[in-house]
Amino acid sequence: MIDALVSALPHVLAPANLFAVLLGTVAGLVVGALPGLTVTTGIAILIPLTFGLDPLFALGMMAGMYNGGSYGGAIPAILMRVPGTPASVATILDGYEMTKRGQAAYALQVAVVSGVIGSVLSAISLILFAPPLVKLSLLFGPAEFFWVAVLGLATVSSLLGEDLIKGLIAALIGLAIGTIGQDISTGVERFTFDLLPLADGLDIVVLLTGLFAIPPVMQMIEEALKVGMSGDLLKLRRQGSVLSKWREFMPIWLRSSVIGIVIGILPGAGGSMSCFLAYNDAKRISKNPESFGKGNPEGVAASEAGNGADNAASLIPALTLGIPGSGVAAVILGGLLVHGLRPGPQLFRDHPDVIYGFMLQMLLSAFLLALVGGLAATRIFGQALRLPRIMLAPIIMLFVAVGVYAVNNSMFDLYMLLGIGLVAYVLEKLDYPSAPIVLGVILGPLAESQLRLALTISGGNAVAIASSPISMILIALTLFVLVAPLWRAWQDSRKAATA
Amino acid sequence: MESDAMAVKSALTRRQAEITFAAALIAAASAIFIEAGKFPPDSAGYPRTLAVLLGIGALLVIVREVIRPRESGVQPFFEHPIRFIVGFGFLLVYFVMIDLFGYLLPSVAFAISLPFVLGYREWRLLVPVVLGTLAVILLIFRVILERPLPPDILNFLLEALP
Repeated sequence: MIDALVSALPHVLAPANLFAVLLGTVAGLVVGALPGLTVTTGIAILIPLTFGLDPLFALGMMAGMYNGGSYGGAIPAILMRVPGTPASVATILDGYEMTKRGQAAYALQVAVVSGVIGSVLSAISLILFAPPLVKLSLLFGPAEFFWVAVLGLATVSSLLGEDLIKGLIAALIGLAIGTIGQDISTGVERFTFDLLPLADGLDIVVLLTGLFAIPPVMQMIEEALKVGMSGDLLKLRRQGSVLSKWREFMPIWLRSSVIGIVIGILPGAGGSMSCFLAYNDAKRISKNPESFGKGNPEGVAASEAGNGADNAASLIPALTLGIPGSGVAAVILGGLLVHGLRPGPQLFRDHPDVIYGFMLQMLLSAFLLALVGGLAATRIFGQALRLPRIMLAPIIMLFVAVGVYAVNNSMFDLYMLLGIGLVAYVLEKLDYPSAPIVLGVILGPLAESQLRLALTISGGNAVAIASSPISMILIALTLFVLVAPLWRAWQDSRKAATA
Repeated sequence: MESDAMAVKSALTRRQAEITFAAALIAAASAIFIEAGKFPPDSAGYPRTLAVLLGIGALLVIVREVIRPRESGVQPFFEHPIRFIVGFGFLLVYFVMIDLFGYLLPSVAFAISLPFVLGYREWRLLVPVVLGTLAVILLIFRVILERPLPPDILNFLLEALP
């Protein structure tokens, strides 16, 4: 592992790749700060724009976008009481109260330092835990990989959405989309309707962009907000140093980071869950819990450290097993596939420079956040927040249109994008989660091919594919993940009935 | 005036939208099941299984909506349906225009006219931002990355770029 990291380091520090991480971090900061745009949207827009470029350049931008966007959400949360991303909701509770007291600059500083610490620890956990986990996956055969795919689908569909049925339907839609194209086992073309662009399946770039970039654009059009953020809010003056009070903050940073990392690793959790859990934990152990929600900087520190710590950790199951720990990780998984990088042991064996380089880029972007998240930089990049959102919608579409077209030089892709985007907007309005669709598309063909392979090896004995200890553990985990929400719902309804 | 007209609330309620979409999913699942019948058994089994599960899932959504108390699903599905239609129409026309005339002119027209139709009138901000964005896109895609743009009626201008 050390050898691989040392070997990847010169690639990461190449000027072009350094620039990519910096650019991604700045872009992420702006995207995260713009209410209505999420990190997922930003990465979905980025994927077609970086298609065809060196993988480490593209992944560097994604790493920057992830960490930058994660902190960016705190800016409008603190200044305007508007969460830039769902994960910055807990930051509002104390951050906006601090702004009302005239401590906006200090709140932003607490947020960025806490985010940097959470992101750095998370990136270190990625570097430490991913290689051992990938070694474990070497024990897996076709049957075990089939069950990994099933577990991935079950976890994401049940945890990403509030509604289990809708989560499962979304996963089924993804699985159905995954059947489009040539069946690799029989050579038969399925659901292509003699259209050549569909022969290799639905293009993952078009799908990701349609699912994650078009709905926020349509939302902006429907809202048609004609004003941006007031420029006065960006007149920030330095108000003391957080680092001089590091002793007070350190326990919160560490506890919140551990919470964020654990939640990030759990498939399907993450995001707002980690920042709320970290916030509640900080409130629980505080000597002044009643001050939380009334402008306590520790609340901002806990929320942002938990939020940042969730990022790289969510990539641990994604890079090693193909099971993403969050919606953003699911899109990054798609981004890896676009560059011909399939998660799992082969990725670490065949492309060590890229994958270890990407892990180092997550660490690097966490440090860069301290640079681009400072008050001076926030004043500069925050100017984008002053643009009215009704103007942003077509601007985003200019990038999306040229990016998606350039992938295959195909107008067909643009029309597909529009169709997928329309359906995605309806899905979003009806609270169907989009991430399971991506997972279905990615894991569906894997599950089908591995199941067929396992059945061929076992001579058609279906029981054999569930008989190894690893398979049994995976099946048990899948059942637990599917049954747990139903059990919780039943318990809640019983409590409600007795109350 | 335009803004007021576009602020009309949707007649479609959330409950109706849930049921309509679930019904569409059942129709799609049926189509998948029937179409898969044309494939050899080895290739048909998996999509047919998915179609059945998708149909069952959608049916559960419909049943849940039907038995849910009526007052919980009466909120409108679209807050501003006319804006939604205008937005989608603009996107469709934008892509058709790209197909016909290339990227540059349709992009300028789209990015300026959409906010205008939705009531935005700050030309001094809108026009420079749109033109600046297009210049950045051309610089990145055409000059730095040398990536293809759709065939453009202004190709002679694009070819003059370094």
